[in-house]
Amino acid sequence: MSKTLLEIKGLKTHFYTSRGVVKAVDGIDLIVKRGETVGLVGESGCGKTVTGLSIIRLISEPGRIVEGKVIFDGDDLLGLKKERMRKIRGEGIGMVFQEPLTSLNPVLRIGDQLTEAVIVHRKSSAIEAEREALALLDEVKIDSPKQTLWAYPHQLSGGMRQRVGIAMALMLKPKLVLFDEPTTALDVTVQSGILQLLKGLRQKMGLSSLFITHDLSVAAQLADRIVVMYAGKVVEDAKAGDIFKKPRHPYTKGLLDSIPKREDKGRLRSIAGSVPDLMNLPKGCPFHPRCPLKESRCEKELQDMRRAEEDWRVRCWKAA
Amino acid sequence: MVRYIAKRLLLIAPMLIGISLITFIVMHLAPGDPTSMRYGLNPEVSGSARAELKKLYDLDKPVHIQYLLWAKRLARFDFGNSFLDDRPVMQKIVERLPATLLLNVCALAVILLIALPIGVSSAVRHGSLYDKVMTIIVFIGYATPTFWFALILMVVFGFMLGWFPISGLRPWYIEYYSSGRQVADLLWHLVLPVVAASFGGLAGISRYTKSSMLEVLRQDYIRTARAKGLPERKVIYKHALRNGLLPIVTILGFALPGLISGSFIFETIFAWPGMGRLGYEAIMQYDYPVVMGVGVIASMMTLIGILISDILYAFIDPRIRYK
Repeated sequence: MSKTLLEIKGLKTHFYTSRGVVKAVDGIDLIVKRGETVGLVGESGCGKTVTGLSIIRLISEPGRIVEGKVIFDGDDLLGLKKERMRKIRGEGIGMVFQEPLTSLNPVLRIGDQLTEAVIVHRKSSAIEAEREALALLDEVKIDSPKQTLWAYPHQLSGGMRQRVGIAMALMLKPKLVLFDEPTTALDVTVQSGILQLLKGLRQKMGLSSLFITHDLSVAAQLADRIVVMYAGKVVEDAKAGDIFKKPRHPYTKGLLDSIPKREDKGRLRSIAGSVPDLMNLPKGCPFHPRCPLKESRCEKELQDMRRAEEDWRVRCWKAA
Repeated sequence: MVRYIAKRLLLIAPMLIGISLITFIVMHLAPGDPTSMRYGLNPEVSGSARAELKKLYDLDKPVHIQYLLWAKRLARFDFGNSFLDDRPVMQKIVERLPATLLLNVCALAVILLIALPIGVSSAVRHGSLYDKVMTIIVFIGYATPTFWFALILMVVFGFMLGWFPISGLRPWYIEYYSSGRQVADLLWHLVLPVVAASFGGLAGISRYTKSSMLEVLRQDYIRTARAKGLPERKVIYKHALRNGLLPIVTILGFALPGLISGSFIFETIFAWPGMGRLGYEAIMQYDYPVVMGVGVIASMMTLIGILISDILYAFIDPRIRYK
């Protein structure tokens, strides 16, 4: 069994809108090894979520996966027939979404929504599926699993709903779980509870996951590896320990500096400028208008990802 | 849930009062009165005879007093007697009600059986050739005046092709048939009126179903359902349809008055022995008690229809049920 669970090669997902082509994901490479948690980090609109949805091929119109490979457990998912792909969803790859309220069906009971995947995929009986759902609700630290099975989404709190969302993604014990900003819509206290839970689950179940977030401090708590995205491209990819100590790409550095720290005494730091329009990217390196280190060649040419060190890749002329 | 229904029930009373008041006033605003119809142009009837007749029917009193007198009788479920033949209004309506209910229930069933699948499949195949063809058909249906459509149906299928009877419900010879043949004959008579009555609603409901389903298919929970690896059939019919039906249930409640008022037209065109035609004839003859009786029963039916749709709504949407 190879160590690599998921390998994305040159993935491009573009949206063909009436105003023009939006290159939401434009040639990214990414690897998730078995048992590893990879944090995919970047500002809103940089293509993180689209990357996640591309992996399980749930990009809807007018978006299209233009090229690339998504090799999961030996199969290129982009070449699979619909029926095989359907089996991979849920069974091979589970996904947890950002908005716990809107991503649960308001008119179906939690129990129904938890068990249906098991019933469909494994042809389990309803009773068996319910037993598994109860065990999993217990696992995600829901106090009264029995009542929760009978509840409707609107009767649960935000944190509870997200716990249900996590349980739902884990029902079929998938090899890989995609977390798409699972804590963003929650209060800070609830957020830390969910992060604790995820840490625990990771150890206990040996989860492999791709953790998508805009919040580096959240990624820092969970990820073994950090992949930073900017305007549809990966700009830095390194071990979490390394990147937090010594970020090489000016964008990563800017993100790290923007995390409020006690020494800042209430001042908030941010990266100057704003995320570029994906339909109208600046020539050369897309980050150059905001970059403190830019020089003339940054405006003309985009650097390829290059090795800076063992297991550390970065996309910048200046970063050594 | 019980409180929800009780609240809806309580709302019916004031609405009924409002409806009857407006009907009463509008009817009296129309020029002429029951006496002018029969005696106004007759030189042999003297003015004093007319005045006496007016007094007999309380028509000489101010409108608001007349309304109160009518309401007082209604409180004892007395709808009064018809000015025309002096038979109790209630009896006349009860004779006609089954035919109207039959027509409307059949029309509603046809609308639902055809419009919902059209709406759902158009939403799922949004933008396809099928969807475009359906859109055109539906718009033609929507734009066609229903009374005209009814007449065309009569001409083509009743006259030219001679496939279906063009009027009536139970012809005189039906009593000589066996019971099985009686049912068949009844259905045969139903075809044209039901097609005509459901045609307009078909277009509207299928359109609403489509737009509501399109909206639902964009929702996050549909993506969640797909991410679980559910087959598309389950995603559409289990996850999307129940949510997509919510607005349709409400619209159905409001479509009911349309059907019932449509009855006035279709029943007259197809000589259907229903309440709608009774009401129409009563209006033409200034038969106030019958008009009011038909009005009250028709609005009761409408309000009950809306009540049923409210209850159905709560039945599918737990957010309303558990408040």
